[in-house]
Amino acid sequence: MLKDITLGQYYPATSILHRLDPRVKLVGTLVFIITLFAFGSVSSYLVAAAVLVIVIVLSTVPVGFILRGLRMIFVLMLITALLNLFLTPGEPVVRIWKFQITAEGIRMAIHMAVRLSFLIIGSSIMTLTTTPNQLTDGLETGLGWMGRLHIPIHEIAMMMSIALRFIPILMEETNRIMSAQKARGADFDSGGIIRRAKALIPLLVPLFVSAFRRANDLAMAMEARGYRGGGGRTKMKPLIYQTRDYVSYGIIAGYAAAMFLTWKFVEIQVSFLP
Amino acid sequence: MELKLEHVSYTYQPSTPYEMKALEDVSMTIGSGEFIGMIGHTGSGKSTLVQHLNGLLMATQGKVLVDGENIAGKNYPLRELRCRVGLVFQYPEYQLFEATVLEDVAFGPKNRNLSKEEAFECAREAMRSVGLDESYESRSPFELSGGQKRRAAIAGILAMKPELLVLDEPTAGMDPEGRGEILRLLKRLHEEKKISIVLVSHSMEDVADYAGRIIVLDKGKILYDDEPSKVFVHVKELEEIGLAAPAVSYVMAQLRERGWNVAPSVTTIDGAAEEILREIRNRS
Repeated sequence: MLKDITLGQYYPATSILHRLDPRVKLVGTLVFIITLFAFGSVSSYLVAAAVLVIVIVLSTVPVGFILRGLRMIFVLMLITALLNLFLTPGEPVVRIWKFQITAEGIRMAIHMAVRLSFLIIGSSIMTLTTTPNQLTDGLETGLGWMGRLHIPIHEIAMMMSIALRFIPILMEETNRIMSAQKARGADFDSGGIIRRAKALIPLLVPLFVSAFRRANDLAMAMEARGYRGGGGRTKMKPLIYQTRDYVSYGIIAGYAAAMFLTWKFVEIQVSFLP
Repeated sequence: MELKLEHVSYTYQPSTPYEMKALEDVSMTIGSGEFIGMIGHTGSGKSTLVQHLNGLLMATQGKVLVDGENIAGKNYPLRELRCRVGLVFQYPEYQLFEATVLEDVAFGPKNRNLSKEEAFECAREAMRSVGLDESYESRSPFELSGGQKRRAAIAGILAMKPELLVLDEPTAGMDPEGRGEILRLLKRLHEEKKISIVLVSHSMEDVADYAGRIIVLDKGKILYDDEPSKVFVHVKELEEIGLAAPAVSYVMAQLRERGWNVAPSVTTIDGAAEEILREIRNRS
């Protein structure tokens, strides 16, 4: 069950995408998402899809691995699509009891489904090719100017990287405690919702106890090694832009321009779309 | 009960980049009344193997038979099996959760659908057998000392009255006194209550002193499965896979090198003392 979550998971490889500066990947993902929502049309989606395909090939991550992440949010997408389908006002096409499907609703549902799945695939590629440490490093360096506005960016980045680092640890711990309680005859997967919720107590109490214990130990270990916040802290591997990073920024700008131009000037009529 | 593993293999996260083969073609039989020591280096598959014994993990290949019946069968009563095969995980004190020790120990029997009173009766008996008297019943498990917590957790498994008790490194991180207590407890359970025991351990001494049979695992495969005296003769091979024989085995091997006629198969300190005395008498 827990094994199927690929969102936020890292796929170890050495492709060009893996070696790219995390700041470039963060900006790229952000631009990708913004253009998806700002310049949404059939033609611009085709551009985005082509870019996605190229990026997936470059990343050397198996396609099945990326799509597994989509499976997890399939229900969410379905609900969004249904809400859009039924609740968008406009020209009615079909009427079912009190609800009506409008032409605008169909358009909207398709648009949202495409955008959401592109968004998930795009951001999964970023997390699959970037280790959590690189990611927070990128955030910290990229947003370093916020420190001048008295926003504790280093502390936020540190909290993020600790939180990310602890996800797999706590998942493993959850599995371990679950197995241990199952060995004592606990049953997690049968009964009604109340029984199931109650069955979680033997799992959650030890999990919280151990999370607090770990947090305590970590705080102590950090202090013992002289950690006292971000001020004057140096890095073992500082982020330095390479040529490939500048080239990538250029490509990202080109992509954004292409999205804008296709959205503005190229119109593709799809006959079955109202 | 008789537990039989036939050509069991297990792979973690198959067909992902994190795929890892943990067990490869493991076959063995655990009979009634046995005391088995299982040793192996970190990552040799010990912990994976013990989780097959009560159906927490299901073999990717091969099968596990309990009294001849395959536990992977669709209608096999797994919860009942988990009561018959009590599995004590590493650091079992981390799974304590109830408000009082008595209630925590009674968690297992309650899951067996016993009444509250019966469950408490089982729990009290289990607590007595691990040496926790009535004064501990109403205390919070979180305020006990490390050794007491560990014993309370073991009592939680014993309260289900298992026929086979499997313990994954029950003495990890304990001081010598606490270790001695736990090992003596296991010996008593084995002798008085006739519970079969599988003891997973790093410590050769622990295993050599108590187990009647030793299984050595390396890289997911069984390397040796024999009496302690026969396993510990292979001092060199054991060292190659990152293990060591009991200190006594080294003493015996050195004595033999210097021409003493002592048996290499002695594994306990008492046995070694006897053997050396015999040789001294012979010489004089």
